[in-house]
Amino acid sequence: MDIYLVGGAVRDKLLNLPVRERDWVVVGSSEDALLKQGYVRVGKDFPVFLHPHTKEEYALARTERKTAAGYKGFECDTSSEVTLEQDLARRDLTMNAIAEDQNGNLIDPFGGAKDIKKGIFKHVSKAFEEDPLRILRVARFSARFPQFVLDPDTFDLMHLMVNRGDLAELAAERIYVEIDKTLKSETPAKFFRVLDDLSAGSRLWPELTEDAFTLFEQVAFLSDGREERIAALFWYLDKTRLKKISARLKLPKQLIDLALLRKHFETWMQSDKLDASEIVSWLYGIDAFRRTDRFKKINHFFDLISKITSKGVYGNCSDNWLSYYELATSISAKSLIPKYQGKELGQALRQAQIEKISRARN
Amino acid sequence: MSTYVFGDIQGCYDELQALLSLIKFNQSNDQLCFLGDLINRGNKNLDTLKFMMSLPNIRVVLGNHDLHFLAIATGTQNISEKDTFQDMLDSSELNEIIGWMRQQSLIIYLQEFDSTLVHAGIPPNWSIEEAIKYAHEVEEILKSHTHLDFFKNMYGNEPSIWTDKLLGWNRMRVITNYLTRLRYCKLSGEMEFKHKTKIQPEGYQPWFEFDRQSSGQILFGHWAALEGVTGKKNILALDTGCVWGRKLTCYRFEDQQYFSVAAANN
Repeated sequence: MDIYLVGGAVRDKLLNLPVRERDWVVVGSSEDALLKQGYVRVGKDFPVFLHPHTKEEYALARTERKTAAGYKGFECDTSSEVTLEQDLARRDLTMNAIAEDQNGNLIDPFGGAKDIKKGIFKHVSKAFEEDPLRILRVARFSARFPQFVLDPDTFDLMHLMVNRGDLAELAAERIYVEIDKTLKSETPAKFFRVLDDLSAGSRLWPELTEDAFTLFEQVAFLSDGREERIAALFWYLDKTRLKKISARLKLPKQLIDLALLRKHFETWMQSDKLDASEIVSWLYGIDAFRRTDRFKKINHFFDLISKITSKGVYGNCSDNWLSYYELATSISAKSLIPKYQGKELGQALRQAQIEKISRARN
Repeated sequence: MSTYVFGDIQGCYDELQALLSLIKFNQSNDQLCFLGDLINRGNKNLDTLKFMMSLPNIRVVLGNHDLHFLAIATGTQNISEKDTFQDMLDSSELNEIIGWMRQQSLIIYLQEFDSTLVHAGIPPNWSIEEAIKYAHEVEEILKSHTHLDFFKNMYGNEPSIWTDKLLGWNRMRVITNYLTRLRYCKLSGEMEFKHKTKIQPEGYQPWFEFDRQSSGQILFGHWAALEGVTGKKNILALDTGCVWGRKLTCYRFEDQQYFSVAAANN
């Protein structure tokens, strides 16, 4: 049995990037042999195992053949006859189809190292078209390696796949995985722009336009928070469309919490024009006193947006809101308890907060 | 509310302030756009940049001098004798300055005025849409960790012509050269970089002399020797050589007026 390092680890080494995780391919072995050596099987659909000590992933060399639509419609052959080259041939891009043996020699039947040097994404074979998720994966690689461009043939193949409607067979969950990874990458706007070039954007998210990508790009440069980034991407959507797109893409509620608070922005920008009672209403409106972290997150995000869109910065809104918040929380409910109870206590507290802010501003 | 576009400032902070007084600039109403080469060759680079960073309502496209500064400030290139931005390199705010500049664009399209802002030019073999799209490729790189590699590979005159088959740093270099250094070229988009002056190299023409499909305006800087004259109604050259002792110019969209102040050292 022979073991090779494959995929992202080999690619990242060639790009002089830190290697994040290592995947291995095992040639000339079988499931039983690996289990006997203490490997633990983890793959449900594919024969993937964890190493007993390093816990790194080891997969039996395999070939795949598409037999039906959907990502489960694959017939998989993992016999010990399958060669390394056959295993590499089923991969998406030449940059990801390079193996390294245990002496550090590269096995690169599709010229991946050369393509990395040239800076192109090139598909390994026609089998690329068997899984439309690869379109999103390539777009995500573009966001990760912005200096790379698509090989014209690869572009044409992906364009063809998009135009014949292949994306329709992708489950929202699989699309979300790619979005999630994209949100963590350095230049995530590129993901959306590449998909737009392929006419895939108008199929996947017709709501999103270049304006959204531009704002998204700016926010992503200033913040790596996933929530802030997605809120920027959805900034120009009204609530109905925001809910529609996030339902369609099955985005987790938590991820779009900030995006849903967008309607509070216009009032936020008026920080120095509002009267004290409007200020306190706004703070209660976003539940600032019970959810302090969330308030600070909103304040930070709105600050980013106002700076990028050149709106509302004249009055230093963000500092204003922080000081209003401090003033309001400096009043303790306890001091009011002897006099008030229940609902009245809440009202009295609010009144005291309004007065405090009002006094501080005069 | 008015929108102004300024030609190359190149660290001429005093003239910039004088021009802003002349137009009675109102920070909370007016929008300022700059055509790049904000710094270098002039003497108040840090003041210029800090002032721009303090303006909320500002749009900037980067020029060759701005990119050159970034290459030096990030340690990928050595400063040369002609460079005058040591004050910025010594600043305690250098990192903020780098971050701010890396966020800026290479091209800006202003829909309300159907106008495109670019430092040097748009070659005849590109539409405005293509120019914006290719500019994004470089803008994304400026925002990513690969900006360091980009600065290492940015310099050079080759390849001299665009094809969409160009890859890697060659591709980025051509895009950058078109948008931030272009003066003379052929209809095919082949660039010529030996001539700075008005002497036209044989077989080449100024990039703006070729007919263009779109009706919109293009505003650019970079080419002081033109002294603001392109001979084309919808292509405006706004670098009037302030740093060379001539004048600083801006243009107001709303009434198509130009404003200028003379250089302090002329």
